[in-house]
Amino acid sequence: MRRFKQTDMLYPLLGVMLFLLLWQAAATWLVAREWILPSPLAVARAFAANMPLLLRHSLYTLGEAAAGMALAVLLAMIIAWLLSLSQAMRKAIYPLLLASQMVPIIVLAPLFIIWFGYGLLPKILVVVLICFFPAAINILAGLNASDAEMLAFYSTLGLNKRQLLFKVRLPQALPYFFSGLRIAAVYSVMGAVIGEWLGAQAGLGLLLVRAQQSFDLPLAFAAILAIIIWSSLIFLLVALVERRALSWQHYLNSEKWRV
Amino acid sequence: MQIKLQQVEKYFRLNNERIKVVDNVSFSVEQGRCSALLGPSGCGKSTLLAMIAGFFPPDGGKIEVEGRISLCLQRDLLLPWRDLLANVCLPVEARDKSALPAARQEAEQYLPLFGLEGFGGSYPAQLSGGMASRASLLRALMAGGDFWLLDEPFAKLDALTKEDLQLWLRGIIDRFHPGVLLITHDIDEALLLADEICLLSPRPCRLLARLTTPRGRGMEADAQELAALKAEIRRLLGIAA
Repeated sequence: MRRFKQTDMLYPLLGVMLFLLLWQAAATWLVAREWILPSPLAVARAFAANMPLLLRHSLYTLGEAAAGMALAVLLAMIIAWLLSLSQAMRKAIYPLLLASQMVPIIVLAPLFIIWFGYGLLPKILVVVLICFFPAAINILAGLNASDAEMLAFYSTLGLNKRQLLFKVRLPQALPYFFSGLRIAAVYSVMGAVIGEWLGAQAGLGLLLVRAQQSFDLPLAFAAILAIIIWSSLIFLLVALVERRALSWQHYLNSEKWRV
Repeated sequence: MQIKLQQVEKYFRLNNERIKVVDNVSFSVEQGRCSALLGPSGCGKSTLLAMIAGFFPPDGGKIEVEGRISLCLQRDLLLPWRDLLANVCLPVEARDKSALPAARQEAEQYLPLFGLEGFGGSYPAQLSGGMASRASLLRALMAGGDFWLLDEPFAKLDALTKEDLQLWLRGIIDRFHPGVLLITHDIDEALLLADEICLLSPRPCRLLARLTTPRGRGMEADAQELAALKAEIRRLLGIAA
């Protein structure tokens, strides 16, 4: 594994600190009205004071994000597999896939609510819709990463179709799969929040709407902070699993020593 | 057991044009003998090998392969997520998983012979180019083929490494004496390793001559004879001496 260096944390921390300082200064002296721009300190206070509330709503949002992401990855795998089967299949399905990404979510989400009610399902569907595409495209690229010569070579060495899939194609697709998963991880919580924004009984999105409507901007920003924190944690979790699953990959990047 | 080609033909389609790449090629490789397909770059040697390996069928003629084939291509095609032992034992693993522990032991014993001692647990990215080539040959050995099809296995190596490896490969062939079909555009390599040289023309690939080398007659080659043979090959290929 790559050594973790102290400067790895130093520069991001410095960047964030600088940003917070500027923000604090602007909020204190330039705007000076909390219901227009709350200062970072006010947001921190609201975050600490509303911890139980934020946590309760987070549970719904995280549940939707997790369920949506799981479904999205499952769907992405099925779609990528279908697309990898034949040229005709790819040509038939690809325009539909692209179109699904071109319809604005903000238009689709209310329709989901009309069709599926105010429960969890429409939110999960929004997450699926946002997350499946990058995952599917990456998995497909991964399945196509094994070139024809490589597959012919290994089939001559005695690997049957199933073994080619499990011993050559899927391991080769794994790094691509994780790239897709990381993108999906970043968008999953946001997707759930968008779903909740348009009508929900609970969740960070609902909390955001309520806070804004009552001009409680510190609470709204605290909810945004919670969204960022949860998104980061999910991203980190995926990155951690990736590092374990692809431990062989660091040899590719590490300095080679030739004999 | 033998590999036998009879009047093999192959066409490729390029910009809606049918181009003949292999024209009426017949030869055979006997068990325990090393035949070299020697021809200029791009003459269709690799196409012949691909057809023998069964990647695609010929458009005309017949290819008969008795016995099993082990392949070694220009790219080593080692899987980057498997360590060296897992890579070279993959053919055994695919055939019969229960034979894997024994195969790993066997492969481990061969490591010194292949200049890979202590590298059984290394990943391909940690190997040098020469080591990867030798690993690729060890995998061919472990695959247990009666015939080794070697497609310019040292093409990507520098001249010095290449010369060493050619001598080394000769030792390996003498020790395991598989049937070998060696594809090369290097006259010296063919003279050094092969018992018989099938000389191929530029595209479309035709058989110009079949020459038996001193090695093929079981004789120690003297420099004069080799030079004469080399001059003969150059003349047949149309290269100025």
